[in-house]
Amino acid sequence: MERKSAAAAGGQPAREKTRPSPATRRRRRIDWLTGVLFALPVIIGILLFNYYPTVRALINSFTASRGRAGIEFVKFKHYITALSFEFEGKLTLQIFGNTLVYALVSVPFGLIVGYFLALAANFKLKGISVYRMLFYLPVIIPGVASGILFVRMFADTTQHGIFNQLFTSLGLPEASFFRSEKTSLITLIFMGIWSAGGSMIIWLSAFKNIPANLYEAAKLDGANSLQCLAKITIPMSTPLIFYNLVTGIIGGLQCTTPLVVVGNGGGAWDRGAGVGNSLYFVAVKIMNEFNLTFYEYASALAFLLFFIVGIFTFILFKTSKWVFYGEEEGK
Amino acid sequence: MRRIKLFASLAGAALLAGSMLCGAGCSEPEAAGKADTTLDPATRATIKLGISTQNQEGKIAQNLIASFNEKYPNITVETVSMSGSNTVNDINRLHSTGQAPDIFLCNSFDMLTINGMELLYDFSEVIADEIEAGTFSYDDYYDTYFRLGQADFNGAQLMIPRSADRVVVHYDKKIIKDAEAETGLDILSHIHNGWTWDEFDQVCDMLKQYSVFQQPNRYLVDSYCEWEAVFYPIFRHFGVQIFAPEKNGQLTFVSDEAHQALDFIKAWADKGYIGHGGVEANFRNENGGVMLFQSQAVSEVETLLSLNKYPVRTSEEPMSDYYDVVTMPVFEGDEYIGAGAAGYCAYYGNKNPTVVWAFMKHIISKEGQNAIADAGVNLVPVRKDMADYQDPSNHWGIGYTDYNLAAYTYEPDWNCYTDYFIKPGYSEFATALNLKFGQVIKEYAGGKSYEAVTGNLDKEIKTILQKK
Amino acid sequence: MTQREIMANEVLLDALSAEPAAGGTPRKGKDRNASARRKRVVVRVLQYILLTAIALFLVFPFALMVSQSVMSQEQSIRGDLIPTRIVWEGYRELFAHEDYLSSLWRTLYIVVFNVFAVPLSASLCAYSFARTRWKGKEFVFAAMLATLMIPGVVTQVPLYQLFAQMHWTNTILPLTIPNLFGGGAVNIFLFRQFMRSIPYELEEAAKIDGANAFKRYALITLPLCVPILLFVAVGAFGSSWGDYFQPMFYFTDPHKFTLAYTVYKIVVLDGVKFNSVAMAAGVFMAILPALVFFLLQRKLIDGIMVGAVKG
Repeated sequence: MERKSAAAAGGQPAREKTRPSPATRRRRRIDWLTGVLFALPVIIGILLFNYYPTVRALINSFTASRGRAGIEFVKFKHYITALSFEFEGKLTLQIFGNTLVYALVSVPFGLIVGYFLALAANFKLKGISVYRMLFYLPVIIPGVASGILFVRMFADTTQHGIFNQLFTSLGLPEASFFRSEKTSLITLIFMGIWSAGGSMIIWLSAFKNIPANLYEAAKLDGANSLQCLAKITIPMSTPLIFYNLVTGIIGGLQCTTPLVVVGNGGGAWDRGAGVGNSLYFVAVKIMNEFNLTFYEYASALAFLLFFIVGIFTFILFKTSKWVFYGEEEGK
Repeated sequence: MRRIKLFASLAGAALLAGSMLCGAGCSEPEAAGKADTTLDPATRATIKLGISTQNQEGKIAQNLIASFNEKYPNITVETVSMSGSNTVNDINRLHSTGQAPDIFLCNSFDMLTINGMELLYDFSEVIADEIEAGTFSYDDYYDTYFRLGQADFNGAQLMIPRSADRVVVHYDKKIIKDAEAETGLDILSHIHNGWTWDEFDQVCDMLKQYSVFQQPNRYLVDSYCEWEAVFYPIFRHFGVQIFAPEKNGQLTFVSDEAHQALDFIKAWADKGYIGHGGVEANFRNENGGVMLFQSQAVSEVETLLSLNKYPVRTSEEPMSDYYDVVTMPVFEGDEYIGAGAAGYCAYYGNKNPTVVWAFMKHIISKEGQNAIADAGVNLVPVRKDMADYQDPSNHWGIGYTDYNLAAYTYEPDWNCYTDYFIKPGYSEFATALNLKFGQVIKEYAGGKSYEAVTGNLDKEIKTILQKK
Repeated sequence: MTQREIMANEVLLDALSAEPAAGGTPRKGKDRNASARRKRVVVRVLQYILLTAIALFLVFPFALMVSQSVMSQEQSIRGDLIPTRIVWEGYRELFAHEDYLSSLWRTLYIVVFNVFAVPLSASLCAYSFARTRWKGKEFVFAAMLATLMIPGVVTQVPLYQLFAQMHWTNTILPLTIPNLFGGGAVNIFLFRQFMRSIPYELEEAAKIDGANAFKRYALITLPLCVPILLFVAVGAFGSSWGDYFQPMFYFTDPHKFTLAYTVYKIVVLDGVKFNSVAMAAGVFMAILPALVFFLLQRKLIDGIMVGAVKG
C-alpha cells in the first residue's frame, strides 16, 4: 500500500516551475518514503484509534438508536436537550461552569504549589532525595484508595474527619468541605496540594536546566532573589509552564477524578455529582448518561466538551506571546 | 497539497473500512421462530448463557447447566460474562456487535428497557401451547413474579422469573435482646409475620430508648426507601398515581397523595430511625443498624458471619439467635408488600428457541430451583409447591430451618409489583425513570423541601423522554 | 510564608551559583569565617524543619492508608489514626480473592509490553518528525497533536465497538496493541523535541558513511535518547499500572480484569466488607510505583526538561 502511494506520488509532475533533475526527484521520493514510513504507525494509529471513533461519535450524536427499528436521524435534538433551558440547559451550564473553574484554577494552582515544593526539594542537603520521595508519595496513591481516604479526611467531626478534629481542637469552627455546595469545589482544588509532587518534578528539572551563569551574572549586577525569580527563573521556564498549562487544562476539562473521590454520593443520575451538583463535571456527566444507556446524548455532550476544549486550546496558543523559547531557537 | 489530499483519502479509506467492518458485524440477526414444547433428550446443540459476574451468579449458572445436562447431555451451554451492574448496557453492546447471548439474567426494569429496544424473545406462544398440552400451568407459580416478566404486566411473557424476591425485614436479634435487657421492655414479641407499620413504629420507638441508639449518628434502619419495592407499596397505600392512564400516561406524581407518602417515609428520618442526608444505619458493616429491607435471601447470614459481626458467638449457638427475617410491615386492611423479580430473558435473535425454552422450563422446575439453592444463595423458589422450607427435598431451606423463612412466602396475595409503567413509550425509559423517582424520595427523606424535590420533576421527566 | 520562601529561594540561588553541576553533597571550601559557617548551620536546620513539616503534611494521606490497611474494623470506624494491634485481615482477604493474583500477572504482562512498546514506537514516529523531510509532515504532526483535544469519553463507545468487532474484548489487546501505533501524541512530541536538541552533525557523518535512515535512527539517535526513553517508559508504566478506566469498557469477565480494575471491582462495585481491604489494595498498588520513582528520580528529572524547554 505504501509502495503504491509512493509510486503515485512520484508519477505526477512536481509543482516547481523548473523541473528538477531526475536524480533530485528520485532522492526526494526516497526522502518522502522514508519519512512516511517512519511516521506510518502514528498515521495509522491516529486514523484508526482517534479520528475514526471521533467521526463515528459525531455521527452518533445526531442520531437515536431505536433498537431493532434501526437508527433515526434526529438532527440537533440531543444538543437542544442539553442546551435548552426548557430541558437540561441549566444543569449543563452549571456542569460546564464547574469544569471550567476546576480546570482553570486547579492547573495554575498545582503549578504554583509545585514550584514552592520544588524550591524546598532543591535544597542541597543530605537525604534530600528521601524528602523528594516523600513529597511525591501522595501522587502514587491509587485512585481507588484515594477517594476513600480523602472523603474520610475531610469528613465532619462526628464522622471522625481528621481536619475537622484538628480545627475543633484548635478552637476553630468546623469546615463543611465536601458537605456543602459552597466549599466542595474549593476543597477539591485544595486537594491538588497532594498531587503537586508531579509538577514539583517538572520544576526541579527546569531549575536544573537554567544555566547557572545567568544567576551569577545577575548577582554581580546586584539583583536580589525576587528579581532573579522574576527575571530569570520564570522567563526561562515559560515554555515549561506553557506546556503544562496546555496539557493540564486540556486534561482538567476532561477530568473524571471526582467520580472516584466523591463517588459514594448520589444515585445513578448524579453519581459523583457532589452536594447540589457542585462537583459535577462534564466527563462524569457523560459517563452517567452513558451508563443510563443514553449513548447518543452522551456523545452530544462529549462534542460540546470537545468544542470547549478546542476554544481553550486556541485561546492558549493565541495568547502565548509570553512564552520565551530562547534566542538561538529560530523556527 | 497533494500529500494532504492523499492524507485525506487515506482517512476516507480508513473510515470506509471501519464502517464496512461495522456493516459486517452489525447485521441484524433474524428473529427466532416459534419454540417447540418438546425437545428430544439426544438433541445436539449449543446455546450461550449471559451471566452476571456479581455475587454467586457464576455458581448458580454452573449448577443450572450441570442439572440441565443431566436431562440433555448433548447440549452445550456456554457462559458469557456480563458486568451485571448494567444489563441494559451489556445487552445493547453485545447486540450491536453481534455477540448477544441467547439467554441472559435480567431484572424486571431492565427487561422493560431492553424490550423498548425490541431485543427480547416472546415466550407467550410456546407457553400457550404448553398449557394446551397440559404440561404447564401458571397456577403452579406465584402470579406476581410471572407478571413482572410480562410486557405491560399483562402481555407477552418476556422474562421467566427464577425466584420469589420480595421485601423482608432483616433484623439483628442480638441488639434487640441487648436493648430489652437494658430497658426492660418487651420488644421482640412485637415482631411477627404480617406486622403493621404501627407496630414497626412502636418497635423503633422502644429501641430508640436503648442507650446505644441515643448516640449521635447511630441509626436504626437501613430503609432503602429509594428502592421501588420499598416505596411503591407505601405510595400505593396513599393512592399515589405515578402516571395517569386516563390522561394518556401523563405524569401525575406530584400530588397531595405523593406528599403524604413522602412525609410517611420522611418521618423515619425525623424520628431518628434513619439518618438525614442519606445516612443509612449500615446494618452490615457497623454495629449500628438493626433492620434492613432487602429481598435477598438468607445469604445475608453468610455476609454477617464473614464480617465477623458477632465475635462473641460460640459456634454451638445457632445464628438464628442473633439474626432473623420477618415480613415487610403493612398497613392494616390495605396490605401491600413490595416484590421484584429477577429472571432470565431470551434474545430475540436466539439461535435455537426450542432449546432456550427447554432451559427456561428447567430453571423453574423443581430440579432447577434446587440447583439454584445448591449454589448457596437460598433464593426463594418461584414454585408454590416448594414453599415448605422445613422439607429437606426443598433445598432452599437446608441449613436455615431455624429461621423465619416463611416471611418470604407469607400471604403471597399481598405482593405488590411495580406496574406503574403502563404507558407504551415510557417503558423503554423504565430504568432511568425509576432511578429518578428513587432520587426524589431519597432527597426528600434527606431533608430537602417538597418544592425542591418535585418542582422540577415534570421538566426532568420531560428531559429524560427527550434523550433518545 | 513569603519570608520563608524568599529565604529558601536565596538558598537555592546560592547553591546554584556555587555548584552548577548540581551534586547531592554539601559544598566545601567557600566559608571563610566562623560566623558564616554558623549561619549556614542555622539555615540548614531551618531547611530540615521546613522540609520535615512539608513532608509530614504531604505524607499524611499515605501514612493513613498504610495504617488503615492493618487496622481492625472497629478502630477504623472509630476514626483512629494508629492501630493498637496489627490486623492482617485486609491483606489476607485481598490475596485470597480468586482473581487478584491472576490479574496481577496479567497487569505485569501489559506493563512490560507497554514499557517497551510505547517509547520505541513513539521514538520511531518522532524520528520522522524531527529528522526527515517530507511533504505533509507538518500537517500530520498538527493532526497528531490535535488528537490531544479529543476527550477520551468521545471515542470510548466507537472504540469499544471497533475492538468488539475484532473480538478483542476481554483480552489485553486493546490495552497493548494500540500502543504500537505511535504510543501517544504527547510522547511523540516529547521525543521530537528531544531529538531536535541532539546535534545533527553526528547523523550527517553517518549519512556520509552510507548509513540508511533506519540505521541512523537505531544506532545514533536512539542511544542518545536514553533520558527521554526512560521518562516515557516510566510514564507508560504509570498509566498502564493504575488505569481502571479503560478496562472498565473493554472487560466484562472478572477473571480477565487488570489489577487496578480488579481492585476497583472489589472495593467499589462489590462494596468492600472491610475498609482495610481497600487500603491494603492501595498500599500494594503503590509499592511498585514508589520503587520506580525512588530508584529513577534523578534520571526522571533529567528527562523531563526535554521537550517543553525548547519549544
